[in-house]
Amino acid sequence: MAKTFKLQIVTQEKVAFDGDIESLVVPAENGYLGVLAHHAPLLAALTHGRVTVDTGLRTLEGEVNDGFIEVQNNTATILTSDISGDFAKNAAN
Amino acid sequence: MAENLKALRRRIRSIGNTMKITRAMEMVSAAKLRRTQSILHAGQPYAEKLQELLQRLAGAAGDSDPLFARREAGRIAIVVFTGDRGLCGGFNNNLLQMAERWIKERGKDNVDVVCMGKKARDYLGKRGYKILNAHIDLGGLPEAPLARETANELRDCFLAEDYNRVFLLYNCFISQAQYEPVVEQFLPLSPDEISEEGDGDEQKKGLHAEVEYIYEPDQKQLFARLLPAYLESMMYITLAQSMTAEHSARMMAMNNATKNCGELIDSLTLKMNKARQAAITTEILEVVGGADALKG
Repeated sequence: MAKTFKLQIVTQEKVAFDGDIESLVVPAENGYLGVLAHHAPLLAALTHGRVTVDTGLRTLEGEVNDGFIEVQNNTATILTSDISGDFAKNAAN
Repeated sequence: MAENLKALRRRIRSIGNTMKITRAMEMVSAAKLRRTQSILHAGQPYAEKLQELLQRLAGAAGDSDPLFARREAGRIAIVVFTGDRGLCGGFNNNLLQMAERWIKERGKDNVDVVCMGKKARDYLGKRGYKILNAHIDLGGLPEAPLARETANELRDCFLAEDYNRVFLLYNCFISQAQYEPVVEQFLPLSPDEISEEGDGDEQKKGLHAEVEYIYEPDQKQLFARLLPAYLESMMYITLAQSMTAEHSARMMAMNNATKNCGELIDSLTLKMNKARQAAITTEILEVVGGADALKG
């Protein structure tokens, strides 16, 4: 089993996702950016695009328009004003 | 006498109906209060994280961003947060009176108002204050798009130097039974506000400082992108605060109204019973008097 790391997706209205995942792809300013476990500390701005999360059991997808991602200490945090797709439904995940 | 009795009975019934309405409104407000409170609570992580990121970048980027620019004098904008409806005690009135005082202190002609809620628009519009924009029919629940739009509009005005200072005036929700009108500065941002932090975070910050981050784009640009998001979040939280306070104010006002109705019914019932008894006594006296007259 692949190594996992923590992901939190926080929107203005709620915490849309909070859990352990295997990989993450986000739309950074200069192109899509993949994050795996033990990624180096990172702070990046996001642009309009698709966020893909692989939890190991299933793949979740959602769209963002703006936002930021921070990775540190094997924890990724996505800050965005709103996210659609699978995350809008999985509010309690 | 009979007339009086009937009138009393009618009054008691009508007050009873009013009581049903106020009790229903109290329950509706209680439900809405719970919802807005949970929204307010759910919005905290975003605001906190954003502040944390800003703190980390503040050192590198400094306060060179135009959103920090201090310009003395000049025009002022104030956003006044009220509700769309009344029946909530002093919630709207206290705030609007404070708004009026505040604006007069700074000169009526120097201040433009952005109204959130019908009450603010009606009250301030009627008194001839210059209204820049009014958002009404807020629906009782805080909406992020509205907050974003307002924050961006004010930011643009500030950057265009239409206004040199922007303030927010709203009812701050303290507890279910307490709220307080407060004025907060929205723009320009103050560097202290962003780097301000609780004692608990000291250790955390020390940890962060040692980590070398990869920034994309560079720190300055990131900082400039984070600031508008911070303003939006501030506006959103303020809106949520004001609405939560509104529902709690209405709940309290309706609770009091229901209590007063109960007291009124009690005192009227007592009056009614006394009147009824008096009527019966008079009748008996009349009968006895009549019987005596026949005997004699």
